[in-house]
Amino acid sequence: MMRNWLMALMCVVAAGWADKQATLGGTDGFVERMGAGARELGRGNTGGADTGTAPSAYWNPGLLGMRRDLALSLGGENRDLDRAGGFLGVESGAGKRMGVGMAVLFRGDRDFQVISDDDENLGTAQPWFMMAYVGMGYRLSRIDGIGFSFSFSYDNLDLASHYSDADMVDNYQSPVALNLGWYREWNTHWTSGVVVRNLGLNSKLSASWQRNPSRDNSLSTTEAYRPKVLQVSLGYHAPLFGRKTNLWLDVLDYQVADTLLVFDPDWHIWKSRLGIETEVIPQGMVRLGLEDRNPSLGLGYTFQVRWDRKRIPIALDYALLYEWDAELWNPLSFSLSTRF
Amino acid sequence: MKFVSLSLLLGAACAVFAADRLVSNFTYAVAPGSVPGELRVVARGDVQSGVSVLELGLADGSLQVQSVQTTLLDPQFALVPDFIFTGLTGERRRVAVATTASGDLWIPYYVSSDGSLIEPEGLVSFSAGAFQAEHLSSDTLVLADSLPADRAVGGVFADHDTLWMAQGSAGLAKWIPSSTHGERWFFDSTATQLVNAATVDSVAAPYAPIYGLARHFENQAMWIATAKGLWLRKSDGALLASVPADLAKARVTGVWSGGEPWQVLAETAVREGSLTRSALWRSLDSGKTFQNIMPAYDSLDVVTTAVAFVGTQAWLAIQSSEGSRAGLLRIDTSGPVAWADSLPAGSLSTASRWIWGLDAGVLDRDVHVTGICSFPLSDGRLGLALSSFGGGLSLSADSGKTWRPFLNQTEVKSNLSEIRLVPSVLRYQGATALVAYRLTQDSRINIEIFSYDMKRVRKLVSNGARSADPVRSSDPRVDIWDGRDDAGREVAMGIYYVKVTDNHGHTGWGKVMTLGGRP
Repeated sequence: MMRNWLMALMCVVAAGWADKQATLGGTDGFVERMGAGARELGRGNTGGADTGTAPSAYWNPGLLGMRRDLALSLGGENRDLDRAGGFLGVESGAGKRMGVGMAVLFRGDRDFQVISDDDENLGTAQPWFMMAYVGMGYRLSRIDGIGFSFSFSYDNLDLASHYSDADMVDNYQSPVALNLGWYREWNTHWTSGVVVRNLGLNSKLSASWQRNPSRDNSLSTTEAYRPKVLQVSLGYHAPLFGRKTNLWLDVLDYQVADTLLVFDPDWHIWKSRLGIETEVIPQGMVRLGLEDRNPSLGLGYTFQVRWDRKRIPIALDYALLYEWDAELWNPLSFSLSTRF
Repeated sequence: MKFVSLSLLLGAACAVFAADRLVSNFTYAVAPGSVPGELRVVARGDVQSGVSVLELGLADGSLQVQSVQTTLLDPQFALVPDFIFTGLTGERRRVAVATTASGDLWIPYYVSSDGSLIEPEGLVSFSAGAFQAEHLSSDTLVLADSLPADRAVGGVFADHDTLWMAQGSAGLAKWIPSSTHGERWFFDSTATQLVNAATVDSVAAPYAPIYGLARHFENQAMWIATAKGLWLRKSDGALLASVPADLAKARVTGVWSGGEPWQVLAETAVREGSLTRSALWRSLDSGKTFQNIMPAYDSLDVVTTAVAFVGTQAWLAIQSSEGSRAGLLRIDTSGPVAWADSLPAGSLSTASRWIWGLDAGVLDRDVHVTGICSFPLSDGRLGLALSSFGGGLSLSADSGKTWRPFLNQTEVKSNLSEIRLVPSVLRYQGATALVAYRLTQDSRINIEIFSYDMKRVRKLVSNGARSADPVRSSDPRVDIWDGRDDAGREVAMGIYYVKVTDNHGHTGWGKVMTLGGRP
């Protein structure tokens, strides 16, 4: 058993050495990168290889094929510098082999001071950004599930009311992008997930679009795209010191070029996410995670309530995140999930 | 000619208030006030334009702003430096602001809507802290029926209480506000005389455009810059050709005079096919002879918009025709003076050493100079003031040896407890945001830009030395973000976070949004 744990950790260490070729700036899609759920955040934002992850339409639509029951998930967080976020997920089994689900991820800033070129305060804006996912999964066998989800983003910069010299646009909507997912349970110890995100419905399979910030063409048109992402997830499940323990690893490749496919390493950014969780008390989990250099701590407890002669599990999760580069502590991340 | 009263529009609509602020940091023209130490500043912000009257005093040899009184024009009008609506710069662009002997400041203005310039309206006068109900309509500025496309005002020149306007192809206009009397002439280069517009049926050739006007040292006489030479108009209306022949036939696009001893500067722009060859000339003998004083002027590819004379020196506000370059030229008795003997290797252009701006210490930030004037100080000396596009004013009390800025700056809390991005929204391509902060002790600082998910996209300043300052400690030359990441790519539309730390344990955060980008 210890040999298996060592092998799993070696995989993690190797992924951690994956070199960053460039910074992740200059690309759209931080809502997507930041993930959803305190449960997943507490273990380093990992979730692609876990059937308990929610919402599946975001994390891995292949998980929807393994869904048998109705699951609801809800969460919210408040990060330093007035950053507020949240998510809502609903998913359910459909028929014998299918599952459907949707998810809405939300981020915003509650206090953005609009300052003019003349150094005058024009007011306070509350820009917000949303991504929505609608997905479907199919269970190929007892151990394999595949699925897809469509996603689009909706942004509101909340600036137009502060400027009178241009007829500014506040709302932006991206075109629909396609996400593909596959989940597999190799054995009682290993699970895996593969997700390809942000495929556009055009010749470059690129989720790109133009944005015009003004209706009167007083501001120049800009361009944006979400990078294509290949996400490979691994899960290892085995007792450690007699306690139920899971190790999670996600490795992601972001293609930060608006082309069909490039193999130039300068146009790719590799990220790794690592998480470990162990059941310290019955139904009580402690989690540790590392995403890039951001460490996190998670706590989770699942209790049950009786409703109409049924026992309904309700999981309450909490995460504490330290954003390493910015040196910010974020102690307010909670989520709630249940299954019927 | 038409004289219009807009008492309802202007008299009732303009608002006067005392404040420490200019109308805007986007200043277009500066002019002396009615008393020594007073300066008038024409500016236009996003919403309104107006004039600020500054009272300046001397303390320890440098200029101190003692009070600012601002008068705003109704938002349906916008003050402009000239009527050439081709962006910031353009050939024949001259600051068309003049002060008459009675102290009235005359300023071009447009009809405006939501910050956009709609239609040239005329000249409006400003005096005694208010815009006057009288103004000169655009009907006077152009012949509306015959020359609708040419509204160019090459220059406005006040001779006592008479306004003279060089209007390009529309000729030369004269207007006496007190009598509402106006006349117009065209320049007949063949007959070398000015022809009264009332006596001609057409304004077609052979009339040559008139581009500039300047006072002659003799009373009631003035220089006229035309497409067919530089001419002197005597008080009786007769024209005398300039000497030497170089300027008698040249396309003279500007003329300015002043200083001690009296000097005349002229700019020529001779067209050779698709090329325009520019030169700068000076006469120190009342126009008897002119010397080409700056062979490098043509390589600068600029036009002169305004000139200020201080003693033997002339300071020229210049702009390149495509708007990429603006600053000052300094002309001394010996000729042009460079601010640096040589430029470091890798400099974009060796011609840059002639242009006094940010690197020469005239400005404290990278903005375009729009105008300049000299004005009397309380001790009898002449001060210099320049206007700039976004940088407010720069003031000098020592003939340009040292300059200090004056601009609108909102107070920020000390020790990095407040970080202010000016502006906080990058709305245009090429826009930049100043990271404004205040330190109470000299420090070394770092500035970093983070995306919403706290990925560092740019390290702007690393261990930079900054001084304690009661207003701002920022270095406006360096502490600016251009919406790009460390790899030089424009970041995507969104909100970004600016972290400033010093070596005394202080940390502050600001926020900036960009409508970017082309990643």
